[in-house]
Amino acid sequence: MSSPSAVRFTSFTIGPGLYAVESSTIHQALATRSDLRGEVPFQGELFTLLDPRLLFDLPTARRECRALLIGEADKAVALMVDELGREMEVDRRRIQELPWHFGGREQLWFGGVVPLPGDRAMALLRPAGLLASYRTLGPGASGGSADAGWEP
Amino acid sequence: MGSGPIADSLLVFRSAERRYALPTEKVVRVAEIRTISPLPSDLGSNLGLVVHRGVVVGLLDLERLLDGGTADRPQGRGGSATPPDLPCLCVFARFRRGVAGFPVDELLGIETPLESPSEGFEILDLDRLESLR
Repeated sequence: MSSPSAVRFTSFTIGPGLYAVESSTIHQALATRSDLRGEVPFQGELFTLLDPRLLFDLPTARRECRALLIGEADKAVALMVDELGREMEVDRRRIQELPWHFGGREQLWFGGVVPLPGDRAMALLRPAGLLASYRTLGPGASGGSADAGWEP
Repeated sequence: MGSGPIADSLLVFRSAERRYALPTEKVVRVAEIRTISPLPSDLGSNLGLVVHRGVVVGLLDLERLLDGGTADRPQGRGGSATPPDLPCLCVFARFRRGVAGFPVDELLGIETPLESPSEGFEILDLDRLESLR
């Protein structure tokens, strides 16, 4: 039986890092390519394609990936991730703040960290925060029209 | 480096080719770490996260922190700090705002400043380090 303080998160990888978002915020997961830009229409909403690698200082060579459709209205994001992990239940009391010396834009991008078995840490993404930073990158990163070829 | 009362004892260690010392009262623990979880950061001295006794603690690159992010170490794309080879030793220190760890290459022992005046190592002032990040 779930604890009343538990939240379900869906984990995924972006480069070498492990991240997660609340499962309830995910509308759909689609197969896509990392070089696509623009917006994805889904059930009446437009989701802005966002490759976090551009913000995380990771190589952005074209690759197959997954896009998680998250959020709504002006905060609707199609978040490109490398591999989907498992869904997990996390007790809210286990969620910790970012360590004190992570004081840059990462405060906007991450809502906390969770210790996992094997001494690994998982960071909880804030898609709206990523989107705000992504939009400052300029039209080359976030503008234009998406090509066709979306697959669930 | 740093002013104020002399610590009763210092933990001396080596990082790259430089030797440092930290007042033992500021040392929370020294432990071997086997896993570093990346966390993207605007600050080049941030190395990522470790989980130590169930608590997520941040890691700092001491060389980059002291050199203002320009230490002569291999750099990732965009100047990000490169995590050390694992496993490695890590000194967890208590700053004013919390605990942080920094990987070290070798522990050199405990020194008592009054008995053996500091030679050949730099005594770290954590307050000053904290202001640099």
